[in-house]
Amino acid sequence: MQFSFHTIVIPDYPNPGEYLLYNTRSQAMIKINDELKELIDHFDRPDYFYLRFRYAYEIVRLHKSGILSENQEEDLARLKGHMDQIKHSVDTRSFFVTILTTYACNFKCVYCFEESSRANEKMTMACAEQTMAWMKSQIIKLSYRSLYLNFYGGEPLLNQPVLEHIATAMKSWCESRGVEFKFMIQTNGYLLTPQLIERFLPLGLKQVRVSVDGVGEDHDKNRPLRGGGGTFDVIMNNIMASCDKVPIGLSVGFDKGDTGPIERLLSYCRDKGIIRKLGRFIFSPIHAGLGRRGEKENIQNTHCDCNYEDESLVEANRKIRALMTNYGLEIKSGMSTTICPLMRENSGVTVDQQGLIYKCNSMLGHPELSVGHVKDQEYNQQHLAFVHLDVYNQCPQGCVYLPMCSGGCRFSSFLRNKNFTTPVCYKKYLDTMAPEMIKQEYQARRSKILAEVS
Amino acid sequence: MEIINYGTDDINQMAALQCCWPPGTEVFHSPTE
Repeated sequence: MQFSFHTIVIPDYPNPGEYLLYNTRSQAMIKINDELKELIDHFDRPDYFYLRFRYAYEIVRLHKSGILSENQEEDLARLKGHMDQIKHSVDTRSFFVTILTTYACNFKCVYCFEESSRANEKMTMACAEQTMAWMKSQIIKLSYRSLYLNFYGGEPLLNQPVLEHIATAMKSWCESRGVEFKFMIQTNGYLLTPQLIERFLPLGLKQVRVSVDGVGEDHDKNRPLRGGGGTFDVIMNNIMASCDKVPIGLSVGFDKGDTGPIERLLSYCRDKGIIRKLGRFIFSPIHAGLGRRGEKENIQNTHCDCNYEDESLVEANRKIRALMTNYGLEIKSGMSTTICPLMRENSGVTVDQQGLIYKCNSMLGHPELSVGHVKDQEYNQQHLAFVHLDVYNQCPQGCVYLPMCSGGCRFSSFLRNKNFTTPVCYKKYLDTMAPEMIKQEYQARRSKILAEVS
Repeated sequence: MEIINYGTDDINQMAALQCCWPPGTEVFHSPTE
C-alpha cells in the first residue's frame, strides 16, 4: 500500500503533526495524524506490523477513497478509468447549449476573439427551427433531464425575436416531457432593461451575465461602442435597475496581472449597495485569439500571453483572492476537475447563427473547427479527431495533477504551438497554487460541515 | 483520521467540472445563485 500518484500531502496542516491529504482524481480530502502517515511511508516493513493492525480500518478507507493504492498498476488503471469517463460518459442531469442569436455586436471590444471573423449576420427563424429540432433529438437520444440554454453572440439582445421564439417553444416542449428548462443570457448589458427581464422571466430566464472590465475609463477603453463612445454608465444603470429581478453576474477580464480595475469595480459595487445583490463574479485573464477566417494560425492579441505566464498568474490570482476575502466574498477554491469539452464525446455545445456546432467558443468563426451542423444527426470527422486526441497519454502518467488537468486546454495548445496535439503544462503554477487552494477548500468544507451540525 | 470528503470514482458526481485553465484562475462568488 502506498500513496497514490495523484495524492497531494500537505504537512503540518491544519495543526502541527497533522497531514491533509487530497487526491486530484477522486477529490477525496482526508486528515490523518503523524503515526498513520509514518505507517503509510513504511507500510511493508515488518516492524510496522502492530500499526498495520491498529490502523486496518483507516487503511481500507484511504484505499477506497483513492488516497492510497495497492501498487502502480492499480493507480494507472484508476487513471485510465477516469480518462475514459471524461471521453465517453454523459452527464444526463443537464444539456448545456450556447446559442448565438447573432454574430453582430454593437460593441468593439479591444480583445474580442470573434472580431477577426465578425459578420453582421443574425440567426434566421428557419435556422432556429433546425436548432430546436436538433436539441430535441439530443435530449431524447441521451435522456437528458434538463435543458439549460445560454443565449450568446455577438450581442444576443440584437436578435430578440429568435431568442424569445426559441425560449418559448423549448420551454413548452420540455415541460410536456418532464424535462426541466431554464436559460441565461450572456450580454454586454447595453440593451438590458428591467422591462426586458420581466418579459423573459416567465419564459425561464434564471440569470444574466454581463461583461464589465472595471469602472469608467477602465471599462470604456476595453469595451467601447462600435461607433465609439463609452458604455460603462449605461450598463451599470441597467444592472442597478434590474438586479433585484434576476441574478446578474459580472464577468471581469484582467490583463498584465493588473488587479487595480477589479479593486475599483468591487469598491464601486459596494458603494452602490449592489455587491451582495449581484450573481456570480467571474474574474479571468484576457487571452489571445485565433486569426481571421482561413488564417487561424495568425494569432491575434499575442501580448495577452503574458497573462498566462506562471508568475503572472500566481500573482494576479493571489491578489484577487485577497480582495475577495477583504470584501467578505466567498471564493471558489479551484480544486476541480478541468476538462476540455473538445475531448468529450457528449458535452455542452455552442450553435452559431448558421447552425454550425462548436465545442469551444474560442473557435467560433472558423467553420473548419466546427464539429457538425444542426441539420445533421451525427457529428462530423473533426469531432472524432478532437475526441480521440488523448493528449494526456503524452504527459508523465505519475504527474500528481494529471487527473484534474487532463493535458491542458486544446485552444491554448493552438495559440502556443499552432496544433491541438501538444500538452499544455501548468505544473509550475500548480506546485505553488495547489497547496493554497487545497487549504482553502478544506476551510470551506469544514465551515460547511460545522454549519450543518450547528 | 477525519474524512472531509470521501471522494468519488464518478466524474459526474464531482464538484464543479470546468474548462478554464489552469485550475483556480476562475475565482468567483455567487450569493444569489
